[in-house]
Amino acid sequence: MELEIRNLSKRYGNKTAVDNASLAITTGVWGLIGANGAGKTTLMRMLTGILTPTSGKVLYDGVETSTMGEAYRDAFGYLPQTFGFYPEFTVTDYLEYVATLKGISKSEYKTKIDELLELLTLTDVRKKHIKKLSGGMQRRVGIAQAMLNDPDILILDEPTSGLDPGERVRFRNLLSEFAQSRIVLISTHIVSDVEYIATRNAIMKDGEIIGVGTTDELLTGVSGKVFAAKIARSDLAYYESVTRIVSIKGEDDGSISVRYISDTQDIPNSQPTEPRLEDLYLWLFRQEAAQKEGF
Amino acid sequence: MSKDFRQKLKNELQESIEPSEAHLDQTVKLAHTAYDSRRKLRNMSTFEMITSQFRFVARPVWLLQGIALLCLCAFMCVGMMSEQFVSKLPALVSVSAVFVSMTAFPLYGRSRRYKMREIESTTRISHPRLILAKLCVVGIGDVVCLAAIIILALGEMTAPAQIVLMFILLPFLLSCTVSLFIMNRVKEEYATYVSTGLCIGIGVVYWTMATKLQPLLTQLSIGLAIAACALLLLTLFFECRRLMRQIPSQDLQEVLIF
Repeated sequence: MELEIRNLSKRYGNKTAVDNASLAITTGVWGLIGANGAGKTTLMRMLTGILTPTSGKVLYDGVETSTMGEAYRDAFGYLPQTFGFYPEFTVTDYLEYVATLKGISKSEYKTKIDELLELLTLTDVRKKHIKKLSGGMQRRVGIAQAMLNDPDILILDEPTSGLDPGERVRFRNLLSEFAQSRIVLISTHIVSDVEYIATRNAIMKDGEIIGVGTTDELLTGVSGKVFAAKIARSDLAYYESVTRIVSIKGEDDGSISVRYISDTQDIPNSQPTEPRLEDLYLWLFRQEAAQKEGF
Repeated sequence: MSKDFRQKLKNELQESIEPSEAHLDQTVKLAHTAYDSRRKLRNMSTFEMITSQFRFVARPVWLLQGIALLCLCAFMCVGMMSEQFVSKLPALVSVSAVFVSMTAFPLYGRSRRYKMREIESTTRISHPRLILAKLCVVGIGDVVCLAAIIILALGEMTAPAQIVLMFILLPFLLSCTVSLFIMNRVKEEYATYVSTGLCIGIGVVYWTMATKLQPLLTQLSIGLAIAACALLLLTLFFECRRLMRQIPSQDLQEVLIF
């Protein structure tokens, strides 16, 4: 099973949202990592067929998806970034509605809905109106609708927003199990969501795919660039202005342990440390992060 | 192996081929395996897809149309007690017909309003079929409402055919066509307001015409009224087609954050 993106571009006037992206997505969990505005959602929308690319194509097992029509739409499940629902719908109504949109027979969807509600611990709220549920529960309803047709390809745009830490862990486990013989593509800017479960990652920046590989492969890019050091509390402001501090932890002796990412050892007595995917993200998106922090 | 297929292969390969029976068997087996391992698509007709949506789409529309019909019936029954009812009947039914056409407004742009467009567009039914299902639901409700108005007013009509055509069908089709024309061309957030304003305008014009020019209008030939209705029906058909063909990505592109 393979979903191939071939030279895909999307332009709006003189703005390029996705620029000549090429990627071959095979079975397993794929993380699509990038800052807000990197082009992840546009790419995902083109994969689902709701946006027509300016150039390039998407191929599913060698066949161009735009020519497959219903057969392609039947093969994937999609959770958009903004999860919508009609106010009159209960959880069951909503899932039944999407099931009929997906062309699933009544006998089939009744069983499937029960299974998914159980799996996503939504059985107790099945008769409740979606508008009365918490953000995390609404998100789980969204995930359930995407999995209704037992898709070969599961496309999830920022699926973990609104989920609490426990729900995130359950969700990761669920996806890992689900992706055994399927393609699961998760777009996120929360790196920890995909760090432990993604078979491979693709990193997007300014509409381009700038890196593809396993977490370990990608981490070689920041190998030797992540350091740990102990500093005095009074020095923190200074070091924050001269280097990219990733994490800060107060110690019992009044000092501060910092983890930072840089080409050189910016803090005296620093020790090189094992890089994580989050470090790579901060390294690649240092400009965006700096802008966000008002540097 | 068919002659056509053999010829096509020859043309593609640009050489003469004489495949052995064993090779052919193997190819057939491989083709069968590939065919069997593909994802099975449940057979489903467009009719089945559309009717399966009625349960979800029809509930709010028919509820609204039912309430509108009850109000109209109550209004007509009260009006029948008045001595002026017969003379005011064309004006009343024409405004009622416009009112019926307006019951579809809350349905327009509902997917977008509740952010359901992305999910609906990526399912098997597809966006045009879903629009078609909604149009069918609205159409069925409208037919029932119009039939109820005709049945209620029929006994009091002096020239039933002319009144049905000129004062029920024509204003109904006119307001439907105008509102759909607006919905298809004006931004969704303003379209409902513009359409409502125009339909109220059509209602007022019809009320005035039916009150002041009733004898003249009822004397117009039936053929002319039928031609006008047919023309509006045709325009309405094209507007419905246009609505179905609208690409959902158009408004998704607008909301992209840069």
